[in-house]
Parts: sequence; structure tokens; C-alpha cells
Amino acid sequence: MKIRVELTGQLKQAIGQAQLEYDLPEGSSIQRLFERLAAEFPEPASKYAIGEDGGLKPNILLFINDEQATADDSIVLHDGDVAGFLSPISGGSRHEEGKW
Amino acid sequence: MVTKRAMLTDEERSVYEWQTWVHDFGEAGQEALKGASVLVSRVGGLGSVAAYELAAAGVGRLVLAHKGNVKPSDLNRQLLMTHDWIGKPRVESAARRLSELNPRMEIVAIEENINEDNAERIISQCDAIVDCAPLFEERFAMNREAVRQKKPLVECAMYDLEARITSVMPGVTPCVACLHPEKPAEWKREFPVFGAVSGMVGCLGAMEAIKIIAGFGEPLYNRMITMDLRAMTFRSIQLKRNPSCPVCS
Repeated sequence: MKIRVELTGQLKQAIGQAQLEYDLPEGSSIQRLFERLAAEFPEPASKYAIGEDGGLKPNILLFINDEQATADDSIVLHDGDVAGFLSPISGGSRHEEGKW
Repeated sequence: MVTKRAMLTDEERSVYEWQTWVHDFGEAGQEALKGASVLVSRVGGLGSVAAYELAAAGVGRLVLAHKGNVKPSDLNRQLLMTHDWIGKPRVESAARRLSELNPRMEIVAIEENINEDNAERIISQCDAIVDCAPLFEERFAMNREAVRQKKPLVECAMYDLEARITSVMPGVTPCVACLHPEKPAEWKREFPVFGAVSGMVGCLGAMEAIKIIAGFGEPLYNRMITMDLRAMTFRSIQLKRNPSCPVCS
């Protein structure tokens, strides 16, 4: 089955692509997708998205088909699903002296 | 509607005539805006435009929080800053430009960034917040206090050609900590952005605040809009609260 992955923020910039497509076995869990991402892009994935335990880092907001999802093994992917990784973003400003 | 209403003068009726024609806003909505106090936290690329639109719309009182002086690299996006103000406080430049647009509006210019020590004091001065801060520490401090004081918080963010927006209503929607419980370890405070990207989401943030204050339309409660202006794609994502959120649950 085909799964489309959408990347944002620093994760997208580090990987250099906004979208990826993976062919996964039917009935794969979201964890399988994390493993594929970590295997293909080990450095940016470990820096921005995938923790040492192989799970999603807490600061990444995951969505599946336009709905926020909890990154645990209970999520089973289906053909045509879109999995988005929302890497945190903010506003921008030059550093100032003092607190923050 | 989150504020008390304030009567309009004939001059204000004239200035805001075109927006009071919006059928579910009307003069009652304008009176709500006049009675409102809105905090814009940082008046940089996002906050300059959010504050400008709120001033244009007739918010009665704007509280601006931003520390530091105008730098040349601010000028591609921080539209309340000017070349002649380089080296002088940003918040003063912002107050000056905003009062030129709306001399009727009260402006409280605070040369501080929000932090754990001042969040309670600053947020107590407002009815609603537009969060345009660059650092997650600021956002977390603002979120905690907004939740505690039950103040609505419009969350605006941008990066490169991407932008996002959602609105937090404490007790109703996820808070910032529900969505991003931790500060990202690798966050860089300086990153690529165009003024047109930050300005776009600043406009959206102002419109969210106006809807929330005046009580019309459908604010982005439990929804986040993500925008990629490189591909011109927009998504509306359904959000959910974290039942074990240490801040809002």
C-alpha cells in the first residue's frame, strides 16, 4: 500500500523534500513508517523526529488524513493515507541581551 | 464575545462603516472591539502585521510586548519598524506607527518579552492574546498564564514559506502544551522567512482575535490551518486535547 508523508519546518529542510512516498505492507502500523523514515534519513530523522526508542519525538505533531493522531502502535495505516509530521515552528527575531 | 462593549462616537461610526456592514459583526461587534484590550506578544514579522490590522479594525487598547532595538535585518518583515528607527526600541517604533493609523486607540508599549516572571502581570492587562513570539519558552509561559487566567490565545507561526495558525480557548481546545509538550531541542531562532509569509499569518491572527472578541464566525478552535506558500497548499487539521496535559487538564 502507498503512504504519502508530508514534512514541515526544520524536518523538511533537513531532509530536503516536502513529500515522500512509501510502499508498506498492508496492515502496517505507524511505527513501521517511523522505521522507514529513520532508515532512509537517519541523521535528520534522529535530530528532528524520531527518538532513541524509535518512537516519535513528543514535540512533533502527527496527523493522519487531516486529523491529529497519537503516535502509538494502535494506528494502522491504510492505502492512500497521508501522514504529516508537523515540526514545531514559531516566530523569528534576532537575539537580544538579557533573559530571552 | 469576551469583552465589554464601548459606545462608538460618530467619528468611529464613520471610520469603521465598511466593516460594520458585515452582517454578523455590525455596530455591536465594533463596540466589542472598542471595549477590548489585546496583547500582541512581539511585534516582529508576525506581530507587526497582526497589531496593524487590529489597530485598523478599531481595537480599543493594544498591549505590545517586545524587547530590543530595531536592526537592519528586521526590515524585510517587521512592518512597524522603519530605517530611521534602527538602534532604537522596536516597541516605540511600533507604538508610533500604530498611533499614526489609529490615534483613538490606547497603546501600552512594554519593552519586555514575555517570560515566567512577567506573564501574569502582562496577561492580566488584556482580554485576548495574539502570540507571535519567536521562542518556545515565551510561548509556553504565555500559554500557561493564558490557561490560568482563561484568556483566549491565537497562536501564529511561520518558517520559510510555511505558516500555521490555531486558536486556544482554555478548557475548550488543546493548549500549546497539548500540541507541543516540549521545546524542540534543535530549534534555531533565526531562520529563513519572507515578510509576505509572516504578514499573511499576522493578518489571519488579527482576524481570529477580532472574531473571538466580537463573537462571530468560526474561530480556529480545535483546528489548525497549515499553509505552504511554496506549493500554495493549505490544510485544516482537526486537533484534540491531551487528557494528561500538565497545563490544561
